[in-house]
Order: sequence, then C-alpha cells, then structure tokens
Amino acid sequence: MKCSGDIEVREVEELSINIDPIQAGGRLTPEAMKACIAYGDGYSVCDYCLKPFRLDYIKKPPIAEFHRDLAEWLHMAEVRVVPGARRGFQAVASTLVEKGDPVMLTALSHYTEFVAVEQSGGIPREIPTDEHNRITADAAADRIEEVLREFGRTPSLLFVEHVDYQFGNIHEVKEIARVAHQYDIPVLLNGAYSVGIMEVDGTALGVDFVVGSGHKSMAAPAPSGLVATTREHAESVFRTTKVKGDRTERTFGIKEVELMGCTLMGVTVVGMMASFPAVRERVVRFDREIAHSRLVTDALLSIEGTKVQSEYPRRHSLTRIDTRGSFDTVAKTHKKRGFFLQSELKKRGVVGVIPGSTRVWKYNTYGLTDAQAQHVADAFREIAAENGLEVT
Amino acid sequence: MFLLTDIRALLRETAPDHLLDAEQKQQAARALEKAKKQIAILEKELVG
Repeated sequence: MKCSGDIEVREVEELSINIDPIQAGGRLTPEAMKACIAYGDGYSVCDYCLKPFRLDYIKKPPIAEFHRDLAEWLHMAEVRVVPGARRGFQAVASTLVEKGDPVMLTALSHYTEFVAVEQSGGIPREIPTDEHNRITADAAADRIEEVLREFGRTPSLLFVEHVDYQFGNIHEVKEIARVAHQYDIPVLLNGAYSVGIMEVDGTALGVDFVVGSGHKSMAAPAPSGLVATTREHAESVFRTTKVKGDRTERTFGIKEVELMGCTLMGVTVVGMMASFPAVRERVVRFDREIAHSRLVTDALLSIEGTKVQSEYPRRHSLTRIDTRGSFDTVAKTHKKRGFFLQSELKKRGVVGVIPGSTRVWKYNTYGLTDAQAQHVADAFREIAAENGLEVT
Repeated sequence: MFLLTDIRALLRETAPDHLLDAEQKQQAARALEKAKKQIAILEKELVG
C-alpha cells in the first residue's frame, strides 16, 4: 500500500517489535495519532490565535495550558516548545555564549550541542568520561579548573547529559550542577533521553535549563522538543523583539527573538499535547521499563562472549552491547556475513538493529509490553543457540 | 479513522504475532462494530 506516489505506507511498528535506539520513545500514542489526523493542516492550531498573537497564548486548542503544565511537570519556571532539542540548545547558547567564550560539554555530548556552541562562536571544552563511561562531578571540577587556567575566565555555559545517547548511562547531574554553580556557570540539562521517559525534576537537579526532545522521548511527531528555564534565565532566553522597520516603523509585538516568533504549529505541537497525559503517566512507571531492559540485556549476556558497554545493571532502556565475542564470530563464516543477525531477528519479528551490525551496537526496549520484551530476549538466545554459540 | 487508529494501536501492542487476549479481542470487536456503523452512516449519507 502507498500513501501517495512512491511513498510507501510505514507499517514497521504494526508488524514488528522495533528496538531501534532512537525511535522507541517517540512512537506516537493513539491519542497523538488521532490529533495528527485532525490537525494535519499547516496552521491548524491557529484558528483561535488572538492578540497578542503568539503560540504559547493560544487557548483553543489549549496550548497555553500545555505550556503551564509542562513547566510544572519539569519543576521549572518557564517552558517553550521548540522544533527539536537542538533548537533548545541553540536558543540557550545563542543567549549566553559570546564569541571566544569557553563552553563545557562532555565526551558524550550530542553533535547538535557542539554545533549550537559553534554557531554562537564559543569554544568547546569536554569533560571526559570515567572508566565506566560516566560523567562525574570530580571530572567536571577538574576540567573547569583547567579551562579557568587556559582562558583566564570560567565557561559561560555547561551542557550535561542526563542520559547520554551512546551508552544510555545516567550521569551525576545534581553533583555536576553543584560544582558548576560554585563557579557561577549556568547548567543546561540535555534531557533528550530522559524528559518523557523518566521523571525529571529540574529544581531537584539544580539545573538552569532543561531541554527535551518530543520526537525522541515524548511520543510526539518530529521535529518537536522543549526548552525550560528557571525564573532567573527566562527573561533573557525568552526576550521579546525590540527591532523596528526604518521606513515602515513596524514593530513585532511580543515575538521571542530566540524562538523566531512561533515555533511548533499543527501536528507537532498538538501531537505533543495529545500524548502528554500518557507521557506523564508512563514516566512514573519507569521501573517496568528498567525490568524489560534488564531482561533483554541479561538474555544477551547469557550468550557466551557478549559484553555490555553501558553501565550495569541497567538503569535505562537504551543499551550499548558488544557482541564481537559472540554474534560477530558467527558473522565471520555465515553466508550472510554481518547481515545474518538482522536477518534472523527479522524472521522473528524484531527490527531496529542496524543492518550489518554484529560488533558494537545499540538497542532500546522502551515501550515494549512484557510479552514483547520476553519475545526479544528469547529471539537473541534462540539465534545464538541455532548458530552454535553457548547460551547459559 | 479514530476507530481504525484504536485497531492500529492494538496491532502495535501485540506485534509481531498479534495474539490478542480476551480483553484485547473485546476492544477490537467493539471498535470494528462501531466502525461498521459509521461506514453504514457514510454509505447512507454520501451514496444514498
């Protein structure tokens, strides 16, 4: 079946169990699918956009209320929805970072954090990981001191991953924020893999900004995300336009400069909103997700030669696994070479592992039912046993 | 379309084998029944 022309219907989620590392948390809820059907037209949420003509003031559909709810949920003062977490990084970096400023990132920062710094003219300096692929407060303190010696001033901003995209590890955010604040460095929490997945309390973590991804972790269409700030920083990051046309003398009301006026319209914002009640509920059941993650990880570890590169026991659903000592040994002689694993998984209705991967790869069990998690665990063990690997 | 979305959600929840339990079968039956009624209304109103 085709949507139109050469656009095939996407039915991977209906036919298979998808453990793709970046897709799991962004699968739409049925409520979001329905909202997308109803609000597919471009400016569909603007039917009742009244003065002062800004997205976060719209009451019907209840976008204004959604903004208030999001802020309260994250324990932050102000929130704006943005087209993806990257636009949140960009808004904050553009406000706080001046050309030539050192900016702290981590060895696990996403490329979009680096690009946001680059765009602002900042100079990135990374906090290294420890031997367990974790970012620690001690490492942050050491690195800040080094930067202070190098530049003669403190970094203008520190980015820290709540959960990183490479290992799915949870980092010492609260402790790192405490260290950063001792140097008066504002802290941005990259919550792309936590906001909408697990409970996030910006106040308790002591961060100045929380950035989240709608399409990665809030069961929302792409591109969507959010940037939340403390009261202290809201005025600067969400400053309104002051520009004036020299001939027409036009001014532009209360449009926010960093957001380029309105941000998410139509399916993106309404999808995020429609999923929000379910998202708010699912984060408090994160222990169920951890149980599924551990079930699948332990099944993989029961295959001789497999190692987990993420922290263990697992505390998140995104996991990086090293099967060089197991599935990759099979790939060396298998007629399908490295593609055998993906092929065998597909036969069992499991997709999302990068084709050809048998060495180091990632998977995400978020959102699976108990039966689906068990199915995935059994599939890995069966494939291993059928291909002569020892399974304990 | 919303009723079919509910069916779609059931397909996702039960992938890849689609072995529905008793409650899920009931949900599917209810949604399909309502969909049939809606189609009958559309047939009557649009086609006559």
